[in-house]
Amino acid sequence: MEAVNWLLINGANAVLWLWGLVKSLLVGIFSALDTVLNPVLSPVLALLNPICTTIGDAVYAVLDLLPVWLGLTILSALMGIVMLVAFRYVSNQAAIGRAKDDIKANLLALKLYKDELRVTFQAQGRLLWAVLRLQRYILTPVLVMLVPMLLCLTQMGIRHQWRPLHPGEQTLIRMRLAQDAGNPIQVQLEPNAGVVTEVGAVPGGGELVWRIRGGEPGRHTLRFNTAGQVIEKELVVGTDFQRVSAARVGPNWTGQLFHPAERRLPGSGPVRSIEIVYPGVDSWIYGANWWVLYFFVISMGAALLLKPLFRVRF
Amino acid sequence: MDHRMMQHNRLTWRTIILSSICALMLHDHAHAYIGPGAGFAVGTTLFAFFVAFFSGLAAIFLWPIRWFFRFLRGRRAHARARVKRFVILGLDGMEPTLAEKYMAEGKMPNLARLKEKGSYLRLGTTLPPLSPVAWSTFLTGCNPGKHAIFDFLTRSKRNYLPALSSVSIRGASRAWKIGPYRIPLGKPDIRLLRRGKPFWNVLGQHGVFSNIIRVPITFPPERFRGALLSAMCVPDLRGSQGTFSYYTTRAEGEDDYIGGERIHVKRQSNVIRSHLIGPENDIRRSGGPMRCPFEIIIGDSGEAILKINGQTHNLKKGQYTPWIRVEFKAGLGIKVRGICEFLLLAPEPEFELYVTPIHIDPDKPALPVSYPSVYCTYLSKMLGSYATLGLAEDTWGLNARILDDDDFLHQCLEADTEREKMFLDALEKVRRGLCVCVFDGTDRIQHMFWRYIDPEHPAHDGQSQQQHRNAIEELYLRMDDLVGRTMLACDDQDTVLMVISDHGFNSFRRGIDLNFWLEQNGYLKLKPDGRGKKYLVGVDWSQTKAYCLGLAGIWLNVQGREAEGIVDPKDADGLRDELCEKLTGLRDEETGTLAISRAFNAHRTYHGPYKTEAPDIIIGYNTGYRASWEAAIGQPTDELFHDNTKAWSGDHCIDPKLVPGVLFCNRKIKTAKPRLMDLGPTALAMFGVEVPSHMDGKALAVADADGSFPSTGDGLREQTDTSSTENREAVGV
Repeated sequence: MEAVNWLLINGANAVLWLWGLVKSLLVGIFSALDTVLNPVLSPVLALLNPICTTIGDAVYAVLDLLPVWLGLTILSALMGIVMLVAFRYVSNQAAIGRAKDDIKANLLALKLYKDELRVTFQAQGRLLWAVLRLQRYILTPVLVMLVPMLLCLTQMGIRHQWRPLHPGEQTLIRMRLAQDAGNPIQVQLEPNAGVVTEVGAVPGGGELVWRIRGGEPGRHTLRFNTAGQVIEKELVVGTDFQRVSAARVGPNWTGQLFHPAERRLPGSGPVRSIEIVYPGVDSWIYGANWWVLYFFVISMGAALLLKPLFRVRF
Repeated sequence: MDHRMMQHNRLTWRTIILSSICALMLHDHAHAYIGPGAGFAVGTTLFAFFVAFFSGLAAIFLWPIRWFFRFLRGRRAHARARVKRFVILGLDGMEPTLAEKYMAEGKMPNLARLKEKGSYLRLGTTLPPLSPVAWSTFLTGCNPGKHAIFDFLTRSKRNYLPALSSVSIRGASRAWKIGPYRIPLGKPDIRLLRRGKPFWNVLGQHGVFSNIIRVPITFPPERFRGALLSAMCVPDLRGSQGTFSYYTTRAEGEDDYIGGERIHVKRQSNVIRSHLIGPENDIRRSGGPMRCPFEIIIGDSGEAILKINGQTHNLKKGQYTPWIRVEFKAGLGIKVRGICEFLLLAPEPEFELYVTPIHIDPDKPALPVSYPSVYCTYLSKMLGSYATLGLAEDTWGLNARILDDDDFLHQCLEADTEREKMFLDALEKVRRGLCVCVFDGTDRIQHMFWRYIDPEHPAHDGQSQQQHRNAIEELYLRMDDLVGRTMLACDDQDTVLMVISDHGFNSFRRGIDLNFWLEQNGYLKLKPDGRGKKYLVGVDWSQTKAYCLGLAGIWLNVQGREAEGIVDPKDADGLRDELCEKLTGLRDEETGTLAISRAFNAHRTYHGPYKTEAPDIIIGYNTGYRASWEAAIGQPTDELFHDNTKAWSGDHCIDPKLVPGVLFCNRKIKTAKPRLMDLGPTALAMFGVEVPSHMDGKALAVADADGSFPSTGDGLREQTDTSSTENREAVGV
């Protein structure tokens, strides 16, 4: 029994270690990409984000007339169709068709000639080659669709991931600093918008925290006075479904991508980012984290259903 | 709590972006976030990969277990086999005299090499020497009295109408009626009317795998150990044996052709709209054939654009399109899929378009055309669309002069090319077991181009003689190349390769209307207005003792057997003998030549439980003669002999002595007079499987790889063997 326990514990540790290693690797790759891409992508996103947010607001102005789950369903299905059509025209359908035919042919060869070991190995080799070819053929549409898809997902995220603060509800404001701010930072908030109290600096430096209690419903502006500079951050209080900007970030393309609703902070200032820890939207369909899964299921379902209509092969 | 939530949110976002970016590098399921197309592509490829991986593992680990179980069950496949692989390449209708001539002239080096290295013999065929009969005998090892196939057609005993002899197809018997719809409960009832078990089924019972490609009379496919693609008698999507469509703006001309139909279309500006005619709609109670609309926009310089099923294809004058998938919508979302090719014959001044019969789409077959059912899909995925219709080459189109010689040859070459790919794939896959593949191009081209090599033929008009006079020679040379490639793929000590034909070929100059002969001799009486009516509807059955339908022979109108029979069964045998005596030696007074060599009393020639299903008299026509076109469809005329001026100018439905097949083998064969029915038993013997006692054929004495012959204890037929004289007589050789 002890041996089994030992095996289980060490096995689990090994899996966790491996997972950690994979995560570190991914983060490393991501950081490297970040460094290379940031000087190019940050200004581009600064330009694109306001446009996307305006379009997002317009789309959701229509969808807001419907129950949230229905709006998300329609949007997901529509995006599935748009992606499907885009996939058709961007991809090499003939080559994808051939690769898929090869995959199916070799799968069937495995079934038909199962007693011939030589055929089995040969079919596996061909299958692998066809799979690699298919991956290569879908690389182009993936690259083309990556940017618009991420922009759309982030617009959906700022609506489905967080909800506004309820009146009277408390949360934290976290400000990450690039350097020591020196003088104390003053926070101003419109009358009746809520109450902000300072919690203090996080030990280790580089981060200040305030507590905020929501006041009257609406979109309010927090103003931070630091070293003679005034930095603004949007605060949303309310009980209904609406767009929420959880953070305002500096010139960092990943941060800008995920928090597109507010202009980026100036790079020369002492503040790197200001984040309001909004609560997540509470729903198993369109709520925090679940919306991504729901979007995935609906868009895939719509694409699968309409695939024959649009004559798309994937 | 808040901190945890922040971390969670950050993690979610990071997951999305990391997934999106790393998907490009890691090819994992994160593609799903990039769009559904990519998501599915990745999903399916991962699925494919895992299936391949695990099935590979399973194959490795299960193979010893499977072998062990086979061993326990006494199926020690190949344990007693003298070969690892037996390959039969069938060249339908290859004529020995032509093959011998071209070999002697050095034009067929591969077959000559096969002959020199192994054997070449003339192969006894069947009575009658028709492909469905011959190939049924080949695959069952039995005379026709045991497999019940005597002709392409048989007649209904109930109403005398012609029916296919090898298969019966009926819709589902029960249906659920909802409003305008009629939902069939169950599958269509498709029955193979050929009796007897193919020899590859026997091999399968002993654990030997077989790959059978396009051997005639294998539709619907039967369950066995192996893979099979059906051939002759596979219908088109309309259920016929091949109905072409001819669209034209011409007002004049026939509306109906044998094997096709003419559809009059109108041109509006430069657009022509019409539809393909599909199968009967069994879903709608109102019935009628399903239609698939199309539009043709005529452009400049002999080109046009075809729009069909949301697809656009270019049409060029005189050029076939590739296979095009077409869909017929039955209703309730049900679609029937087929494939066809379009040929723009003339865009203007009169528009003419030919469309091949609509074949069953092998990718998603509406009827089972292979065993297992996925085999046809496998071939489709591996090689692309291919012809599935039993008689894939449209001889009727050429006969009706809708197609010219080039158009027809294109179909033959295309079918042969498709077949060769399938065959070579099977040879690559099957290293132990049986491989059989039949090529029909030899039969079809000789049927249609014999007029060029027979100067006495009525259709030898010489108009385009220069261009196609060598079509048959070129065909034989192509087949020789095919044999060369096959020999390369079978170049090992453990493979026996046989190249065979089911019958030979001869000229078809004059047709004999046996119904007219029967009428003249008092055996058949027509109704007052009955002459010229097809399918025997003009016959007065109350005064008719015998009638002709199909290519093989004559039926008696027997009391208790036919619905309106008048011949007393006791007198039937005497009448058969009487007719045989009168018909044997029938002469063509106009040319002064013998028209019928022999007439056979079927009840004495065949033996087996189904001999009574045969036409009562089988006619052995002489060289140059055959049943007339009219006699074949039961249309009495007022002449006994008719010049055959059709493109269909060569035939083989004559005295079997005059049209033996060929047998080439890469090993020596000691048997002097091999017959088609001996090949199945030979394959069984080569794999060490006992030949079932019901088979009429005997295993040929085939040498081993070292040239030595085994002992003759296993029922092998050697040169001196005379045990099967009776059987040889039965097939007329």
